[in-house]
Amino acid sequence: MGFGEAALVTKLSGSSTSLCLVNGTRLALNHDAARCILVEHLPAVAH
Amino acid sequence: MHPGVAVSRMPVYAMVGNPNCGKTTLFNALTGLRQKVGNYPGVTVEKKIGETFSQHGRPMKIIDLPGAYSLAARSPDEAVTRDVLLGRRADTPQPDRIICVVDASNLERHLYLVHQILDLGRPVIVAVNMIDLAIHNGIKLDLTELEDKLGVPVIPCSAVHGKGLVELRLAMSRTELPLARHHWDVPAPIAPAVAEIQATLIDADLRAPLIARAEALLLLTDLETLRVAGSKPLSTRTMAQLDTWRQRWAGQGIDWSRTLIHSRHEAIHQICRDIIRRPRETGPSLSDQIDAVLVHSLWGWVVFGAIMTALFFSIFTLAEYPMHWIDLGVAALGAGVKGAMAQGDLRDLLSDGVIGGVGGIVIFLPQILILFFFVGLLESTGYMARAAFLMDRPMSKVGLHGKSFIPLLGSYACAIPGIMATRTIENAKDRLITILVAPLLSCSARLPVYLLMIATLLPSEAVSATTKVGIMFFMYALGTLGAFGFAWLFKRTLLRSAPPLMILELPPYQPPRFQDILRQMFERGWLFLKNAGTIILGISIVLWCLTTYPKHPDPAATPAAQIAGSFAGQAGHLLEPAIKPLGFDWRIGIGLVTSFAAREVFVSSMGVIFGVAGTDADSTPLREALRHATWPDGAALFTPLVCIVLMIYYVFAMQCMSTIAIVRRETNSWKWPLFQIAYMTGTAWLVSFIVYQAGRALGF
Repeated sequence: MGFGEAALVTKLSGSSTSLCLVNGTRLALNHDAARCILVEHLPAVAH
Repeated sequence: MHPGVAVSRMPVYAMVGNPNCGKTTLFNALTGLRQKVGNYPGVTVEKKIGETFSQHGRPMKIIDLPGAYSLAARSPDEAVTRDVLLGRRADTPQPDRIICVVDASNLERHLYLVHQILDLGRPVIVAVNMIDLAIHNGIKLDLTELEDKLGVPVIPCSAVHGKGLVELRLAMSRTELPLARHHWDVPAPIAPAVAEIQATLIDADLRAPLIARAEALLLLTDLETLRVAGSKPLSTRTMAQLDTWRQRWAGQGIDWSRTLIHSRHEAIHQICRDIIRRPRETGPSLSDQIDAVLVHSLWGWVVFGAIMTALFFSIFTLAEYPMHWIDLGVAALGAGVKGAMAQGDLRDLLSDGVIGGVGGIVIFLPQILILFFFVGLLESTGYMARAAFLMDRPMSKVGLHGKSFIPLLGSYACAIPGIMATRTIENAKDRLITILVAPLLSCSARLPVYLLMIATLLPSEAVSATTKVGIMFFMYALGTLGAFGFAWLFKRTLLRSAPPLMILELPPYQPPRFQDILRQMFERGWLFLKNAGTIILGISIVLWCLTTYPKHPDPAATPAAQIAGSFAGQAGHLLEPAIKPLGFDWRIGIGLVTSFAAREVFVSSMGVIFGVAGTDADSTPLREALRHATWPDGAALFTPLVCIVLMIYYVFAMQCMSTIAIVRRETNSWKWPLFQIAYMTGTAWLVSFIVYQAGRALGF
């Protein structure tokens, strides 16, 4: 879908189907799509 | 046309953009009613071409291409967009110039497609749409800087409010448009491959140099290289070269696709770094607040239920009036032709075959228009994506996508608009499954058969309405269970694919644009009449011939005698051995044959066969005639068990030539409609057989 920029992702709702906010765009992902996403812990960044 | 050279013929613009960028609204604003809508040959992707005028009154053609996130196609729509831009389609001229529509609020994301298009070496105009919304949300864009970096005109606009259209038209009116200045370094390990494939594309596939480079990049990015009917295949030399490079990189462990995509994103990020200024996160937007209710685990379903009830109600009740008027109009026209012409086969062919047959399809037009009005309304407000989001979970239980819900719901009114509405489902297999099971849902054409059978089955006026409603509900439930059961089965066998991955963009809520909704509604209605009408006209004529020939030797023979001796009647007799195990005789067989045109024809056929004039489902003489019908041995024909079995048969059987015509058109093949006839009618026979034989064994 063209998301290549550094994206701030916020999970808004959902258990089976999730609703996320990615750089201001609302995205709905079903369970299988959400499972394809690799989630990694990032080192804390000092602001 | 070459950039900088004046064009003597009408210039062709292509309008491209991501889904939900307001591209079609901009297209409508520029072209008004000067549009032609059709299909790309061989593929059910809508083709829209419009005409507009330059500031000097010179006509210009605009092709509204399907929305695409990238030229690396993942759906037939995106493949058509890619192929038109690359000049791969013989049915569509390669555009001279391209208008890229981007959403001002999501500029960086939308620039990915623009970046790919700039590689094509065609003059480009970037229209930054919904600029007012971005300003309202505190997003600051330096579009002068963007224009400078890309080297092409960048026009801020708001298609909904008509802002920026004059500036856009002025840019389009320029006889010379500059080529993109942006520079993008292809990653070093991939550069030799790009150069080599580019050379082969120029040599073997006769591409222009810049198009060849863009296509080479695309072939290396696009893993699946999705092909659709109508696009020219690549030469074997290019394909072989591509395979060689892919194998070489695979051996070296280079992920060339990811490398290219990442490199392009990096280039876009560099462009946008100084151009976009986003505000710090503030509170929830209006869309967030609405979503808090509309996708809520409880209130979301309440609102969804209310909207679907309104949709269902409108399709069934509001459409009833215009359907009745059309019915009267068709009958009057048929009578007029009968009155005006001398008696004979030509008169009967025109009045009964052509007018009756085509009238049988036109009668569904109001339901189709109402369904598409609602679909347009839900899409333009942004609610449709939320409905798909809510329905995804229950639909996924049988392996269907949330987007299959609206087509299936519409099929309760008529399978035709339901099947047409499957175009919103991107995955070809999921779409095909939805098309295959949609006719199992009990449409309005089954109602007359159900009503007649229930009236015959329950003669006593003392029988409560609840019992009748209960039987009717059972038939609807049976069809629904059948549709979901077969969807589950097809997903795991014939059309096996991975569970549908739903990633859906939920656009911000906005007020509906009635002008666009009505335009789309009439376009779809016209497409339905134009395309389905031609096939249905042919089938109507064939069916008329089957019920008219051979002629009865006695010219004064009754219609019942004529139909009994016709090819359709003979087919009824031929069918009897096959349908006798279901409790049906040859007369019911004729009804089954003639109602292949449309299910409700069964009622009028019974009227003709049993010699009852002016029949409808509520006709008391017809009910009485059916109750007194017997087998040659004197046993009652329409026993309660046979009435139930006949209803069950109609729940499952594919008895609708209009649906077959639409499935043929939407799948571009006779294979699937024939399969649909076979599996539905086979199931109808099998279930009817089991019920009838079990009923007989139990003493009914």
